[in-house]
Amino acid sequence: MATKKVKAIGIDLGTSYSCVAVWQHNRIEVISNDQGNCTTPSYVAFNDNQRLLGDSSMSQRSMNPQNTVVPDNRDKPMVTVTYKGEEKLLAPEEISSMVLFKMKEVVEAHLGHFVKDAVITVPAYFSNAQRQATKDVGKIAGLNVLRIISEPTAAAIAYGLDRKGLRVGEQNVLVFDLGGGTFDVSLVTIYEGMFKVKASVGDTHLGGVDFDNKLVNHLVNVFREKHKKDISGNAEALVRLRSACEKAKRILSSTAQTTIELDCLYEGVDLYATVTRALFEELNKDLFMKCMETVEKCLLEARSDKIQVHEIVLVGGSTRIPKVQQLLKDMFSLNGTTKELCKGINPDEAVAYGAAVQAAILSGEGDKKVEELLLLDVMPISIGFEGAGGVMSVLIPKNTAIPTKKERVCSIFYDNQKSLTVKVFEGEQVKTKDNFFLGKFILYRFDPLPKGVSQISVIFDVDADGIVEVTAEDQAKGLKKKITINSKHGRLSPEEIRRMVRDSKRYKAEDEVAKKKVKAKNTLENYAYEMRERAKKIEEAVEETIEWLECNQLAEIEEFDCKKQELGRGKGHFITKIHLPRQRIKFF
Amino acid sequence: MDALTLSSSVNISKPFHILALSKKQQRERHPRTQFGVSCRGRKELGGGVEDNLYKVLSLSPKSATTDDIKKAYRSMALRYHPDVCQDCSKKEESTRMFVQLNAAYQTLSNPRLRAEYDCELGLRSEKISVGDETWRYIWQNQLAELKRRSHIRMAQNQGSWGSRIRPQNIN
Repeated sequence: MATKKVKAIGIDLGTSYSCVAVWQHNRIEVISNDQGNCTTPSYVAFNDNQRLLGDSSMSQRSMNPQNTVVPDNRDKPMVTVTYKGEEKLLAPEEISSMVLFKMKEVVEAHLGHFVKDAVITVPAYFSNAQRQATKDVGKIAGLNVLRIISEPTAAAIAYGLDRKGLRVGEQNVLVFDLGGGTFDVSLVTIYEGMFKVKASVGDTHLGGVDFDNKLVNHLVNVFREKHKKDISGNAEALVRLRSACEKAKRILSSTAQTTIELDCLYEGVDLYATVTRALFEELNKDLFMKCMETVEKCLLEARSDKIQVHEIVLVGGSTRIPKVQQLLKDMFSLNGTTKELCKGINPDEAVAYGAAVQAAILSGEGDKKVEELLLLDVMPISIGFEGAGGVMSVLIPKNTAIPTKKERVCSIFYDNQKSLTVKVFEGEQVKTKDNFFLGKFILYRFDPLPKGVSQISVIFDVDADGIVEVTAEDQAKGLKKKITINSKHGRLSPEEIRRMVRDSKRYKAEDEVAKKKVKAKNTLENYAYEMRERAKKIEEAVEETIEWLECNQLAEIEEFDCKKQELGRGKGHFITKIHLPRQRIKFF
Repeated sequence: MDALTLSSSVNISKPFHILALSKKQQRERHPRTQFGVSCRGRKELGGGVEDNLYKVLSLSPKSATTDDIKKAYRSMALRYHPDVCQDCSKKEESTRMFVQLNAAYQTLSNPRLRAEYDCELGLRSEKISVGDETWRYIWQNQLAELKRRSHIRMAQNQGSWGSRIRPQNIN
């Protein structure tokens, strides 16, 4: 039992694995799950009897590939699974909420009390819509999301706290975050407890699963050429192969060579392949170079040179790939000086650690160690509105520190124009049609005036959560119209969220029924084994007595009585109960 | 006054954009059914409220060093950032103050922007040399911006974020 209740938790919601941490006993603790692992697979599985979360869903996915799903927060597809004999259509938000629910359960089991408030991390390059969607996910899972923060920022906090006393003055930290499904590079300035993001660049479609796929595709081709069979359409074979490739990738981080052996992979044919680190690096050469290009881009956007980077922090499991580390090291080694990468931070736990720190700050707990910390986040993507000719008129450029407020005075475009439509967009392209539409509103009832005369103020207000509020005001007439950008496009409606919350509760109730069933079954099984053991002992004692009797027909009365008592005592039963075990013995 | 200064500064840094708009306006011969907006000038809220960016940071214009500016920004950020504001009723005011603080810091922490600003305040007399540096800085900014956009276009050809979002935009 915790000495006092934890108010808020930090959750690293990852594409492949998730992690949870809390501020407890004046420090951050990363919480292990029921299998003793600090990271929990972001998998959900369904079968005829129950829903499985975490490690248990991972371990059975080879046998149940169609119904084992992972939250794809990259493309947002609907997923069909069979659950208790029924087909279910699940939104990615629902699947993610199940992962969050599992992380919530993990931490509650550890703390011994319920938790409600959480800070959740997302890839740095997530758009406004994706961040909003993540908040919805938290809501469905029964959490109050205090803040959505970027993974690299959270990692920088972990680094900064760890190193806080070591260096004075300003430090530029490059956070290289290569996870299972997404890739982010951020330059963060740390100055006496203040974390300021200078630039953040990334790719929401690059990560460990992409490296695995290169190897999978390679082996599918090898299998085809060798055995004239195409396994690419067989889901079970592919799941087994992908799982083996992932394991091989991990092994190749510490050895030069490994083998993949899969018995009876497809139509009775085995797969046996030797995979070298060199082969893996060659297959993924293009992807690795893409990572390095993103680093260059981040430095360019931050207007910083490589020489100005004091530290490189590695985050995410895929940063353990030796080639990735080598390329990074080479890139930052200047004038013959070798740049060492920071390896003091655990790449799997750093993000959850930082999220828990931010949770402690926002909930007002923590001590002096975090009291003077401050996280200054930035807009990940530019926001603006549509100007003349469909041009993107950026009002808040990417990497602008938030909260922020920007205003621009505009004019109507045509003589006697009577209304004004403000369309808000998100993205980096010059034309709005190439960017992402966020929302719009119309301002009515202008006085007829020649173009260029009316003065309309358009104000963009972004809060600390990155929520955008847009206001348009006719300065002369005092007309005002505003809209809060909730990125309705591609988002769940309030009704859908409520339905998913209800579904979530029903799943939870059904999980509990399944747990009770399993528990009852285990109890009965243990009891049956125990009874069998006791029955064996009774049988032994009885046989022993009968044997004695056969050899001692002429014994005295006292001996017979004594033996009877001994038999009764040994069984732990009174004399009147002797008959019961004897009857059972007959059945055995 | 300061707002207008910042406004003109921003305008100067993007002359191509202005020229492009002007050309398009000239080409307009027939009124279109689609309504749009054109933009003139820009000002940052907060910048106009205070008559002096140094006052926002509680600093003296002449004696403030780069380190002073950083320290001032940090201590005031710790006071005004909404995250550290525990009193909910003061959150709005706190956010407004923080926005001003950010705007002031953004200008004063950049040596070239600060030099421009100081020039406007009449703190320096070497206008010619400052002007030269200013223009070089503006050109460098434009080049950096062009490089950035070039990167984006190249990335787009390889399946960037924008190209993937576009289908959703069409829906």
